[in-house]
Amino acid sequence: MSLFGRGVLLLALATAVFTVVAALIGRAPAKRAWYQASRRGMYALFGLFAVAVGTLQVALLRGDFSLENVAGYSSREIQWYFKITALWASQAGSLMFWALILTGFSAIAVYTNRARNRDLMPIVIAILGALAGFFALVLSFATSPFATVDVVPENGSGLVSALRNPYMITHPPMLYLGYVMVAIPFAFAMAALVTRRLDTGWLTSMRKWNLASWTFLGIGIVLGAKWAYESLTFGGYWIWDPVENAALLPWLTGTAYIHSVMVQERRGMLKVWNMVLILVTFALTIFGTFMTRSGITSSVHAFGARTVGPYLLGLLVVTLIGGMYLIITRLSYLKSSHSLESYFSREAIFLYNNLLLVGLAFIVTWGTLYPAMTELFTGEKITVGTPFFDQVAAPIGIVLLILTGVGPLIPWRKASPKQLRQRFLWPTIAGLVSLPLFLLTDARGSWPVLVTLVFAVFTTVCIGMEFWRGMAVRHAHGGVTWLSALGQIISRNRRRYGGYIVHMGIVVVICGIAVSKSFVTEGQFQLRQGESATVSGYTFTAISLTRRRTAQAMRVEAAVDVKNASGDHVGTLRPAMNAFTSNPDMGVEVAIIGGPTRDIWMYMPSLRDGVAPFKVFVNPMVSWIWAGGAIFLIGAVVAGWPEGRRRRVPDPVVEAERAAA
Amino acid sequence: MTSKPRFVIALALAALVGGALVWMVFGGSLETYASPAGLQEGKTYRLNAIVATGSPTDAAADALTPAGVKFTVQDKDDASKQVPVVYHGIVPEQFKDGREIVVTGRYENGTFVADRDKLVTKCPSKFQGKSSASAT
Repeated sequence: MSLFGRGVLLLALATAVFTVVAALIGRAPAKRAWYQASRRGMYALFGLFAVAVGTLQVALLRGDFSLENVAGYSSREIQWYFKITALWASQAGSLMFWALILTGFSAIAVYTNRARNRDLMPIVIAILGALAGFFALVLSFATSPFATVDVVPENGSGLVSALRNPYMITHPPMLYLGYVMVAIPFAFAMAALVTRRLDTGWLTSMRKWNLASWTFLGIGIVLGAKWAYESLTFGGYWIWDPVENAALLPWLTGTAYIHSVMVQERRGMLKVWNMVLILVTFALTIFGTFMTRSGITSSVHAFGARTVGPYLLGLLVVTLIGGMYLIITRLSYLKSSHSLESYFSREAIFLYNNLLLVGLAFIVTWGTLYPAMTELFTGEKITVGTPFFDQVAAPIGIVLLILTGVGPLIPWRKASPKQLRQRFLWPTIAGLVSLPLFLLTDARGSWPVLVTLVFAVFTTVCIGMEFWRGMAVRHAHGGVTWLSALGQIISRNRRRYGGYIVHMGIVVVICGIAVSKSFVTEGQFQLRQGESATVSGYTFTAISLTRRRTAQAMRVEAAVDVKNASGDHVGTLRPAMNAFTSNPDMGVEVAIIGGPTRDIWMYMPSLRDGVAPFKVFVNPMVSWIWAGGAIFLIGAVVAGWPEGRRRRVPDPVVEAERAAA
Repeated sequence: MTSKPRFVIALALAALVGGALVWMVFGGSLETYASPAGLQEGKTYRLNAIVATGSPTDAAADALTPAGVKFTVQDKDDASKQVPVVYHGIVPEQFKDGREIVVTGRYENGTFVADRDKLVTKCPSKFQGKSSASAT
């Protein structure tokens, strides 16, 4: 099995080389046959990686423990679906999965463009083929998914309990999809540069790809935060860990890109900037992989062997130098068709939003790499703590929040003072009125939170008024109810209103982050059965503390009753801890009582002599982050939904396929 | 672009404000990674070390008492370089002799006084020592 798998990967490498060569020859209009061959090469690459992944998958399901990546990440006992997900628990497996997604998307892009972009496609295929070849090379020579062990163990050592989690099924694939999909717009952008076909044609064909990759990345990040919150023991969802930052960075520049591309489509401006952004976004996906797989930064994520670092660094350098070279030599083709006419115009707002997002990305990169840099230059590893990131991100986040509301209301080219007065009257009044109301709540304890909430109200009213205006026009035509007017405006202009829904999701997420980061109450106490403790008005009573042996572990569990200040029963928390008998792993089960205004989070590390220590967090409004993520997804699906079809229940999977097709 | 100089000035101002912001918050948030060998009196560190043998078996419970849990850590490469640690708060479930930890705190009077809840154990992504996997 190992031999077969390795053979398939080598064949993939050879196919990739052939595909690149054929595509480059196929550039000439007369060499149509070569172009055809390169397209089939791309399909074949997808097929080969599918066979390779399938081979490892069969080995995982059958429990072929002669393979290192089966023995180390799987065992006879774990459920079948974790045997499947064990594919991306190992480094080599996840890189191979990555290559499968890459070639899958490449094949889709090649197929959908079979009758279009004849001049661009050979270069696109060459770039994507080279990327696939890179993975085949790494998987063949640096970290083989089919490496064997010297002594075949009786059983595998199983999957670390932290990974035995439903999020293991959703979070990594979402991130991979988002990460890998960036390669497609990148390849088209570079192809446009190479061929000097720099009209907006390639931009419009990449719209859905941009949106889809950015959406997957965003959803992957939210799922990762939720996973951390529900399974790790620090009671939060984001600690600016290098691996988290690695996912956030391309999302930030990707957000900048999907906004600034609109300026190029609409006004023919920012062409160089857009090229730089897509290059940087793609480079950041490689950089993120490098950062997490090379061990240059310390992280809570632990990623086994670190043998692929130099390869990824090489790819990163080639990408950046090649991309910059292409942009610089094509500068004369990237002239703006218009210039900025006013600082109060849609394009100007987009520019500010871009500067802030890229600035934030730059600062986060810098903070993430700071320990590595100081170690390199001074020998002392100095790290910037989470307060650094929090304090930099907060003001930038607030300004971005304001721009989110302001941007869509400001017309292109130039806004007159009269327009501004008209459009911002009600949002401003709403913001001002909300301030004294917020002062009546606990929010008064933190002025950054007050500012955030007031501007969240302002932005919400801005967005609401956009919907209102559209609905009023439609309703004035007569014959429709308000609700169907809403449906009509959304279905007639999905991109626009989908975008507003996404904005609304972001506003909700920002509120959740601001409040939950600022008003955490923490408590620690030890309880015997029947004893109580109070944290932040909530009384915790241990009604049972038990220790029992299960099939796989020694399990300690507690049932803790929670009552609020007025004595009402809020719920029962059941935190637990499993000490597995077969391996040195411990399985934590954090307990959470969720709610719209606050979560009660509890962790119990042990139970000894009838005494259990507990850690409790009362986290306000964390659930808003998850709700905002859901709104974000709905908005993205609306925006990406193909025009001219009847609306159905949004299904992210179907939508992804559609967006890809 | 007619207003190019103005635009450049605006950009420079924005960069300046951003830089000032970064600079202001930067100083307060620095922590130095250190091993037990390189600690200086009165400084704040992120101490990366290994729990020496003889740590309390009931560390999790001790750490929640007013006195806290006391244990010794040793350098990752040189077991003779040791430093005592006092810690309060939650002890991760992985904590035990021989485990690599990162703990934030100050070095005072020959003892590393850890900040509350700033102890993390570094865990291997897969079970080491059990599998006889050959390194490839």
